[in-house]
Amino acid sequence: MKLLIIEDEKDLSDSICLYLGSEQFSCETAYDYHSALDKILINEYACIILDLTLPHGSGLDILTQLKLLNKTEGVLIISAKNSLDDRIKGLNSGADDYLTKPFHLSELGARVAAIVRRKSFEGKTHIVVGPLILDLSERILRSGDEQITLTRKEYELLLYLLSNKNKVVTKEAIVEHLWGDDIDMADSYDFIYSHIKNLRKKLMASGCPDYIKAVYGMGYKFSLNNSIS
Amino acid sequence: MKLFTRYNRINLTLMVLLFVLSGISYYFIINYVLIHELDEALEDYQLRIENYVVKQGTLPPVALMDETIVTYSKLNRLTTPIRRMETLRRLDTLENEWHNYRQKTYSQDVGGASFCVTLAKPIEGTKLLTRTVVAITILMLLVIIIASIVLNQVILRKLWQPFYTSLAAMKTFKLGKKQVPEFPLTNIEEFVFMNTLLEDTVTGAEADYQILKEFTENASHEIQTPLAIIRSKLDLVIQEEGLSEKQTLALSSIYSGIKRLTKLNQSLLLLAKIENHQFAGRENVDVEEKVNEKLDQFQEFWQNSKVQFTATIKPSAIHTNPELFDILLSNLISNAGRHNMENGFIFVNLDKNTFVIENTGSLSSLDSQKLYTRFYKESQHSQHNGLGLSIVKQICDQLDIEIKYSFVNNLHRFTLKWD
Repeated sequence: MKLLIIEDEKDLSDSICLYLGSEQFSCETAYDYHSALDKILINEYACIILDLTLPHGSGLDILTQLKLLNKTEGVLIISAKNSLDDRIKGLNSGADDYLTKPFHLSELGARVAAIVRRKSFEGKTHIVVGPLILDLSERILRSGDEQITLTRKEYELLLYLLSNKNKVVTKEAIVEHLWGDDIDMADSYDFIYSHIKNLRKKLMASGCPDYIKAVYGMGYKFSLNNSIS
Repeated sequence: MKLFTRYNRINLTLMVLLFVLSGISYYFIINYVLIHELDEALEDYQLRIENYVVKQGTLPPVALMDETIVTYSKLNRLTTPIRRMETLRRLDTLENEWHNYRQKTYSQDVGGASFCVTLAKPIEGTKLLTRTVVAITILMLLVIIIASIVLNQVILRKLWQPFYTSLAAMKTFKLGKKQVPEFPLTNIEEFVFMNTLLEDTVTGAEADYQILKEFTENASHEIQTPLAIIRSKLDLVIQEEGLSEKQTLALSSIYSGIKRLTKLNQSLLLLAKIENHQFAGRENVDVEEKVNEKLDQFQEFWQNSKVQFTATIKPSAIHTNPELFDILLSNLISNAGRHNMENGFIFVNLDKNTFVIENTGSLSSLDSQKLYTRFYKESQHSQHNGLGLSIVKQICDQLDIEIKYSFVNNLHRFTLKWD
């Protein structure tokens, strides 16, 4: 699957590429309006990451062009503008999601994954993790026939970690994702430890390996590679 | 004191002084004229006596019916001739009263003998004169006072009208509202000058303010991108395997620095936007639902820092901008938790038109003068940017919500009131 990153800041574009690029995704980049349009005309993308302020044009115009071309690519806007009006304008122009700069790459990862899931043909509603199946439509986790009950926060946490699998996700990013941006608890993120602990216990009780690794001082990593090997 | 009053006072004092002075001088001048007349009459009298003496050789008989009292007395031949004119008090034998008299005394030779002749005429009318002068002065003063009051009330007020209208117009002016007050048209030079000056100043200030605001907004926007780059690079760096403990610590410090910078930037941007009136939309907001939602969101954080909370929530609604109101509640509620202490308390009380939040915390009252100023911090090393309460205040001003801070029973209390 291909992703297109339309962002004029090369440094940021590179970071996104490096983070999202994996065996699942390959990334292409466009740094201005015209090259972005060219790429859109030729290729099909699983998701387009779009900055609104571009050289030679506006990101909103690209959205209009996509509509005119009857393209159904999922679009995630990344913008420095963070007011409700800007969001609404972006979403009304056909974008699927709106993320304000500066963002955590893990947050971007989760949003892109969600868009890709929604847009994929089969309407993918399951994520398979080793012996586990996360049912997104019913928001439950299954292990074979057995159902593992998760709290709302545990479910969201698991989904977030899965969307960024094999990546270190900071506690800060987890708190912002689960509790929102306006919860400004700069002091300590320790309280998420108990959520992680409970989730880990539930996963291990259902017989799957300990996927969730703590990364000292930083955060957590849902590590599939290590457990497989 | 009003300019009128001040002017009136000076004016009236001067008038009174002037009138008293002129009254006194009138009195003296008229008195002088009267006495001069009397003196002339007495001179005449003397002339007539002298003529009589020359013709008849004797002193004329004293006429009793005459107003002029004439007395003769013999003098020694040796005495030097007398000639004097004076004012003195004499007993009026008829009325048995003391009266002022103008008296002329001179020596008259009659056939070898020398006589002292005293001619006295009562100074009449001085009393009447005094009264008249005083009466006229007082009357004139009254007339002047009344006239000046009427004049001031009617004419001065009318003359100063443009000035007061300009003042009233300035009073409604507030920087950042993009509204230059309308000054009255007038053809009085001073007021025209003043109004032009005011208008120029106001327009200039407004323009400067707009530039400053745009600067804040643009600067904040421009800062977002480098911040995004730094954060994204950090997110990549931590993916590296085998980071040392030192590196990890440094990285997490950088993360928290970036977070603070981001927050600060967002707060400044928000303030600029509020001032720009970019939150115009109004909707009905269910405050009860909103408060419950916020408390639900925050309670996990409070539990973690062992802060207990009690909430009394009653149905409440407000017609306001939902986005700003949400930020307002978030800021107040998160403040109550952040500035709390271990095993502290938070009390939330929502009534129909009031929201009260109290929390334990520092044991002294916050400086209510500086509370809402930007970058006000209780302690300098605080992790917070000191913009939270200025945002709260700005939002309250914008949404016409009254906010009050008080410190009662070691509790910091914020009260919101709306109509």
